[in-house]
Amino acid sequence: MTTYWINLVECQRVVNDLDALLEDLRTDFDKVNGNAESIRESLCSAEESSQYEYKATQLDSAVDDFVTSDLTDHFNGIESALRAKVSAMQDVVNYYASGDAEMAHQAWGTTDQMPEYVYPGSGAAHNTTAGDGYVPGHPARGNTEHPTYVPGHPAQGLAGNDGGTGADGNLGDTYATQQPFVDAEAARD
Amino acid sequence: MVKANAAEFHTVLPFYHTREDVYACLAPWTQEPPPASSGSAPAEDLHLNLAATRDRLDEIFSLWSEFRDYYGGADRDQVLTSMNDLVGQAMALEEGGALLAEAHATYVSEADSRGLAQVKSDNDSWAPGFVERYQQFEADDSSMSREEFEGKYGHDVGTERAELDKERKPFTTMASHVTQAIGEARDTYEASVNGIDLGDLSDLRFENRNEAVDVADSQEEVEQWIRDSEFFNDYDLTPSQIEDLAEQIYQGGNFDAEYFDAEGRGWVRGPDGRMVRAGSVMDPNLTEALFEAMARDDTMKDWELPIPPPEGVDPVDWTIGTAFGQGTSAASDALGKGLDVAGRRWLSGLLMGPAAMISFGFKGKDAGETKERETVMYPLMSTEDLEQRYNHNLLMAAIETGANTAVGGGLTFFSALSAVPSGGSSVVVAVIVDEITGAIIGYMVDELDESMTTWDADEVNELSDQELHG
Repeated sequence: MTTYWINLVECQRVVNDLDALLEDLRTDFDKVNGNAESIRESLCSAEESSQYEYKATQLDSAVDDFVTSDLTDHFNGIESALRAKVSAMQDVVNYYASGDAEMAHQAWGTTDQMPEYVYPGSGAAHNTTAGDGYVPGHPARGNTEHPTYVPGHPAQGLAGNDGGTGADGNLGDTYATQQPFVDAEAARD
Repeated sequence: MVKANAAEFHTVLPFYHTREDVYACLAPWTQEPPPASSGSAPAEDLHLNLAATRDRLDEIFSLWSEFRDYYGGADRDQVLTSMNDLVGQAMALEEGGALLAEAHATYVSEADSRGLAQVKSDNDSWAPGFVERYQQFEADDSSMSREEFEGKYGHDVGTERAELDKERKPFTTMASHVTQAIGEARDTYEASVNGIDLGDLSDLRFENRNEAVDVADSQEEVEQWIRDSEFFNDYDLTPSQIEDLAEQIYQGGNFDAEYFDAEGRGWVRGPDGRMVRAGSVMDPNLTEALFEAMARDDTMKDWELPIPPPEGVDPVDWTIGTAFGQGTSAASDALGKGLDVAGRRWLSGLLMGPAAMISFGFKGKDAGETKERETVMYPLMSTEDLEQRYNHNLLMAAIETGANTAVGGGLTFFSALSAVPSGGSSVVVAVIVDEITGAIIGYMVDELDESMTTWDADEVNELSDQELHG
């Protein structure tokens, strides 16, 4: 049987931390325009040869364009992609937290795509200690009436380095609701 | 043109034969070299600010990788790999800044040289007197009789005109040279800036050397790394200290990553910009964890670091504790995350990739210092790997410069690109010759093309684990 799992508390914590980092993301980049102004002040002399003044003009535009257009667009692209991805992840957390996952699960009348909630405080992959023992509907696999809370979720399938979930990839194709992470960037590709 | 400052273009035609000339069309005007060197610090700062931005982004990528532990939806792989493209784009930000700074440095050397300024100054001190004499000559020519003129000048008008022309000629040539040199420097700068392609720079390169792809599978393996390490050669570690350090470095084998390939293998940006496996001896997070663990240790924190301290730090205080301990961030920041500009400057001196080696030079004493720096940069690397890596970088540097280079220890490194037969994908690129006896000590064989020592993203994603480790 295939199971999915999510640690809502930790996922929310990571999303919050990401938001905090995004807040400060521009701090250093915002200084770049000032740097570019100073660079441009050094490109031309007070007295230029009229014969070659156009070269000074072209150089000035090239530096200006590179910083205010190329670099800035490039940076803004990264920043907005990050915001979209973090926001998509917030949607994922909301999706599982709101019970939509359970509803979708019941609507499809199936049992093996239900996310397993790693109970708050139970830790994740590296913590196999049992949680506080609240296990509604447990053992619930196959139980269509309740989401499956698994305190102290065992580490199988969670190990950080295994590169996969052990999940059956076909399932996701069949039920879009099981792939709540909507990456706007990727979708555009 | 958008003027960056209040400096106005005083349109002055440069040559004496033009009517608007400052020297009454009689003497050449020399263009003022641009104050390019005053833009050197801003150009460097621009690069450093972009590097700091890149570090902020790296921190985000690492943090994102934590979802690996907390999210197991069917789209988990999509979540984990969704940062991959951005990792390359983030790197391009910094590399674009580096290229701009480099282009500016070239402009400084070409357009703001002392030589050009000297020409300008010579011209300006000569021209007014010359103009005066020339105008007097013309006045005399029109007002004096031939006898009077020859009496005053000692020869006829034609000869005097020729002499004045002769005096003026070198100044005219030099003035023209200055204008041309500055114009060419601007062409070069403009072409360099226009040539910076942030899209191309976003293509990641993945190191394929063993030290970059072999990942610690156990704490015992990390202990072995420490025992084999060049860095720890000079320190006597007890078995329990080794175990303690290894435990804090290995941390259960769950290594932060920025990039996940198709096989789910995590990668991070190595110190010289190429991607290395998370959990390899080149993983900067492991390096940081190691130094921080040492800084927490009562004995090790007092050990001196065998490299020069950053500016403003007394060498006497330059211990692992002060460099990497809590509340002191210069070194740990430089090796890890959240670099400030000062930390960056220091790190850029510490880093010894092929490019840095060229600018640093690699003769005798410098070569020794380069090795010391690499020892600190990669404290978990074995003596053997460090040596190989050093030679490899030296080789790449020699390839790039085509230079014959003294490598220290009385050895000279001769570029031999065309001199020695080669076969297959490996090419003999250099011979090492004993400076005293002239004997060939050995050949250096390597691939010329960097693409043969690294992978691109597509290649990495197609590699099985077995292929990855060659």
